[in-house]
Amino acid sequence: MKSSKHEAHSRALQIPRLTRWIILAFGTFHGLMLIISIAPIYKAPHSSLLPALAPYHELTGTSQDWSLFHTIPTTHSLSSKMTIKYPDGRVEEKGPILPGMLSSSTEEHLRYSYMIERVVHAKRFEAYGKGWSDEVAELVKNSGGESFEIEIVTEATRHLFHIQKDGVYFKKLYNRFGTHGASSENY
Amino acid sequence: MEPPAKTTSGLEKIRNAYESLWFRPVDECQYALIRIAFSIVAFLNLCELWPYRHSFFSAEGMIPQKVAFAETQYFYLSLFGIFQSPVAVSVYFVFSALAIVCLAIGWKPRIAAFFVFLWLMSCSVRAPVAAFGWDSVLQCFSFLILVSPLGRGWKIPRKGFPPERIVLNYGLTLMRLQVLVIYLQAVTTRFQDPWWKNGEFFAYFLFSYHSIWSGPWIVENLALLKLITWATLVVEVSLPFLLLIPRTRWIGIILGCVFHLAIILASPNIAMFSLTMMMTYVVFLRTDDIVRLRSRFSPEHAD
Repeated sequence: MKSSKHEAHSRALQIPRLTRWIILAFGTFHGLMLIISIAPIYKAPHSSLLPALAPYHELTGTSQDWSLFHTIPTTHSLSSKMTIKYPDGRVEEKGPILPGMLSSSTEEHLRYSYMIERVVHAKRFEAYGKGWSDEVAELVKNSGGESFEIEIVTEATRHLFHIQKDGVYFKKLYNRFGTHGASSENY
Repeated sequence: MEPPAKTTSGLEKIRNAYESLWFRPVDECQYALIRIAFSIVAFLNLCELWPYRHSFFSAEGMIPQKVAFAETQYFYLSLFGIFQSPVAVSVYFVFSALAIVCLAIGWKPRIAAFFVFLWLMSCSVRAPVAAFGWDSVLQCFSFLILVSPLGRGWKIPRKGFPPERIVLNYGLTLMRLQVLVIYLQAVTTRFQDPWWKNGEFFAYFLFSYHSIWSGPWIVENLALLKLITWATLVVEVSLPFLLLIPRTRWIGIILGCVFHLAIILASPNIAMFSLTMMMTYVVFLRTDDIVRLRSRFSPEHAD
């Protein structure tokens, strides 16, 4: 069969035949993987394609599941504090950022706010919130504390319709978890 | 009836068109430019992560290793599984920073690219809860850089452009496809979102902690903000096509840069996102652009 002009280029570049086939196979495979990753059939619930192809997507970072503002961001600000109760009745206020029990603010530490927002509001990251709480509990116990509570205050943007009606822009949402009182409380 | 020779010629055309996706010869400087642009953004991202390193990646931080391990679906491929103490995490950060510098200057670029890929994967596996979209974009680009020609002929310490060397374009094709997929994925998900569809997205965005322009003016200018939301969708739909078509690539690059610079102005705290996306536009440069750059900076190689 007549060779293609690209085969001629490959020969000019001294690319072995096997390398050509590897490039062709890999290029075709990876290209298909990229296209499949955004196909609705792939992301559909109970898709049989997902378990078969997800390992490759995970390995190459090509699962394309980034959340680049797919919907509205509703958090205007987010602050967090932690109170520790000691057996002698003393109450100490600290920050929940580890290590060091530091405070954080939305303006200064974007990634902390992003992480806290996710563990508080996204079900997918619940386990990380539990893990964080367990780490804090361990530290509090080691420092002689009896119980602790982390309070996350989110200023959430209200619906534009309501803002236009009464001029109030944000509502405060309180999420608390820890070991004061009940073992874990989140509201 | 068509003569058999014509049919062969048609198949030949299809074959040539498909093969040109992978085997078209290109100037290796195209890859060198991507390697350098990627390294600069990856280095900035590492610097941005540095203050958080102990909180997110060390055993004394907020994310227990066992949770990260349990939440990983298939492969827990993170070197933070080995480097767990705060000191070890800092050392790994410094090592990765050096790997990024090596990649930028073209010193042992394949080995450097491997360690940069490993670094980005280690971060995303160890602390996915703290990872932004741009971390994922950098990770999949690091994989494509690892498997592509690296533009070894252009090292920063050398003056001007090196003599032309020819390599294959398969890496460029995959990188272009990746950028196309990013925009298509963004647009398809946004078209399903009620806030994007009704045009209210941008108003909420300006009220969020990402924006420095929050204020009462937002509700007074909702009509304008709706137009901006829909204009954003139009830009995002058209960008991949403008970038892909050789004749309109510069319109796409300029439009994309203006769009992302506007995002930086409105929300400097996510500047890394815009820088990452602007970095990806380098893959749409063509041989003509390299020839022009060559003749501008290194006239002796213009021909």
